Amino acid sequence: MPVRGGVRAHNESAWLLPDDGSRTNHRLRLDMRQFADSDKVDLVVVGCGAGGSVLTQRLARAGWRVAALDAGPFWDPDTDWVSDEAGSHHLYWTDPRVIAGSDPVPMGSNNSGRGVGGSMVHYAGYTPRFHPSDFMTATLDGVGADWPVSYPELRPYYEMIEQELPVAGERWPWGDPHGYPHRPHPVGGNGEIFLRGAARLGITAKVRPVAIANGRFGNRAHCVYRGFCLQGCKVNAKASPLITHIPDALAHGAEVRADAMVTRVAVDERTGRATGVHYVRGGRERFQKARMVAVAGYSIETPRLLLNSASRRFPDGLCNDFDQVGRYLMVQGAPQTAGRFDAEVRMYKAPPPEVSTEEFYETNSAKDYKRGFSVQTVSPLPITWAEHVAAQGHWGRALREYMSDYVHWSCLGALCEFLPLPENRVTLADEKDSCGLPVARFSYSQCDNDRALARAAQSVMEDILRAAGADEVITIQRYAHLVGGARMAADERHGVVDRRCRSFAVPNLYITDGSVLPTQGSANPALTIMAVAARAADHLTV
Amino acid sequence: MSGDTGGTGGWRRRFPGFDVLSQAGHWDRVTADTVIARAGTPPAPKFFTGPEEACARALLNLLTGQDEHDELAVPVLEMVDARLAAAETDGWRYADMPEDGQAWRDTLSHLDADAESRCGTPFAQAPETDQEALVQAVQDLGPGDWHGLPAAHVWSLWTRYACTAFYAHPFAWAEIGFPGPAYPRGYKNAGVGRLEPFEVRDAKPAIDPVRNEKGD
Repeated sequence: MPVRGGVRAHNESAWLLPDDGSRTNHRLRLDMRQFADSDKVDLVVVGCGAGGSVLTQRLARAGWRVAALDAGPFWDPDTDWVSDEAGSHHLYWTDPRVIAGSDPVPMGSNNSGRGVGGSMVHYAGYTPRFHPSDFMTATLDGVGADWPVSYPELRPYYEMIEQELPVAGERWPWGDPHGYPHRPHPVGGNGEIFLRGAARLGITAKVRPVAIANGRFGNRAHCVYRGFCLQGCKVNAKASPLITHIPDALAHGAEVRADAMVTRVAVDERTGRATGVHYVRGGRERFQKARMVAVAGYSIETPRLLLNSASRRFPDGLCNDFDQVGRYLMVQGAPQTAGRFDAEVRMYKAPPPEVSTEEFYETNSAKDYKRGFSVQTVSPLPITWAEHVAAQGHWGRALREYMSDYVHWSCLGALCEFLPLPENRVTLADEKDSCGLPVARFSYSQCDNDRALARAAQSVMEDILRAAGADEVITIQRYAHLVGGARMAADERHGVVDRRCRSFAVPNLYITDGSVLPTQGSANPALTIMAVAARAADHLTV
Repeated sequence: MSGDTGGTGGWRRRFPGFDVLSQAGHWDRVTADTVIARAGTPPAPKFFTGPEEACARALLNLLTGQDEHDELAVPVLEMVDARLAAAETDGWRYADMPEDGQAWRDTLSHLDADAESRCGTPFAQAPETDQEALVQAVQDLGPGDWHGLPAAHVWSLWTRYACTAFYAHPFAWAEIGFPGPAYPRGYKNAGVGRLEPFEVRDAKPAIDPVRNEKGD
């Protein structure tokens, strides 16, 4: 593994942040290079989240002229973010979307980010790797899909990104066993309960990999364990591309153009090549010329943009010759089970990601389902906890009574590997957004294997909490994360991009975000999205 | 399940003397401004019409269990109205529901119609027991149809907006022992049974709603 000085040599972001207690390097942003729309940049990137930011940073370092557009703001944690649940509403993508299917998936705060940093601004910070088996579930288990990329091919990028975030955690015994650059964080009440319950049942549980530096990293401050990771880290302790990749990209001449909503990717009918992107900024329609386009708008907006970029050559949507765009969109089943303790747990007093087990991650031939799930601590704050309690049917005074008991509850969440299904997809709705563009309609339905996994995960969480001493357990059925929708495949009849994230249909159009993932495992996807983007960047620069 | 358990309200005042706002001096300025503004006098409603406002106020107070026993009222109606006026949605709607603002208007009108046929008055003027029964009837329909809408999705809309508003308020945090904003101070005593100097221990730990429900 590279030493810490090695990180700085290829990504100086943490050292480009201020060391005076403020969180944003305003000088760097003021001095940022600015391209004209008529400048034919080497690359225009659509979306500054996990995938788009890593690609931007890598290519800017390699000397490319890169303009990265994002529909949302260029955040300043000091002035834009609050240590408060309701006040963080603006961190989520809340433009209209329609959800359908037999098991519709709520969007917004649960899975959709807005602004530079993307949904990593409000993710919990969990950064596990996928297991080697996740890359070949069709071969191993007869479900899902095989990636055109293997785990060993992605491993060096996992290692590199783990150094750049950096990741803190115990040595990880599951999947491809590995250690982390920073030591594990201390755990709070919720983590303590999980460790106690798991130990009594003989289930191995570990202090989890999180992208929260343990100790000072560059000019980033130490975590203060305030528990508001999902509201944007005001401390600069939890990693998001806003602080892990964008500063270095700016220092190497990239432009981040915030508040710029891309409406359409333009393709020359004669050459078949992308020529740039149409976008709206300040109410004005504009066009950025580019030699190459990379779309990184995540699993809903990336397919939507492709579908909204239909043309004579692509009447059903860009890159959609074989009806693959928007399909195989995945969410993890995320049942959340809470247990009641006489002691005060006060689960809000630590970052929600504390402890996890991947003992149930792989297919177990003794079970009637394929693939598996992980179990992690989640520590809902009051509004999210009210959703959990209200899901039990309580309202009015009964709800208030239950809620008054908040400090006594511990809460675990599972991530179940729900399978990629062709009918789970994004299409365009009749409804239009403020730019006059059709909004996304996301239809989602579970299969029997999915339901069996969610039941099994719930029962494991109930067992762990009861073993730790809970006298009662309550569960809410939820979803977590998004991946797929423009997946990577061996050929154009099975996916939208190739193993290097290049679209099959347009030779200078790339997709570098979570939508290219063919399977999702039971791992939080951020690290894998970054690793896939870093790998795509490597192939562009050799 | 129902909304009318909770008995005598013995669960109130579990954290005696715990006052979230007294800690505002320890919060960063941006957060403090946000939370203190929320705790102040709310702006007058501008989304709901007069009759809608009356119906929504009664419904939201019922859903959040607010009554004369509350020492401090949370202005849930005003908070929900402000969100709807700003079209501040959750970023999605069910395909079988109108957009949130219209869904609120439609469902309030249906609730008034139900009240008219049950009691001959609009919902807001119906006796509380009737209001409870009318609301309970919607919850009990589950996935069934209520005035052409899936009742479960109506229930989701109502409770999401109600809970998000109520549990955003520092008065509600005090009731559940949650200290609210934590930046830049953070926490130093995490762990089961451990308290910060500014936290208050539960004075009524025996009030376990689970056991109460089972009649233990």
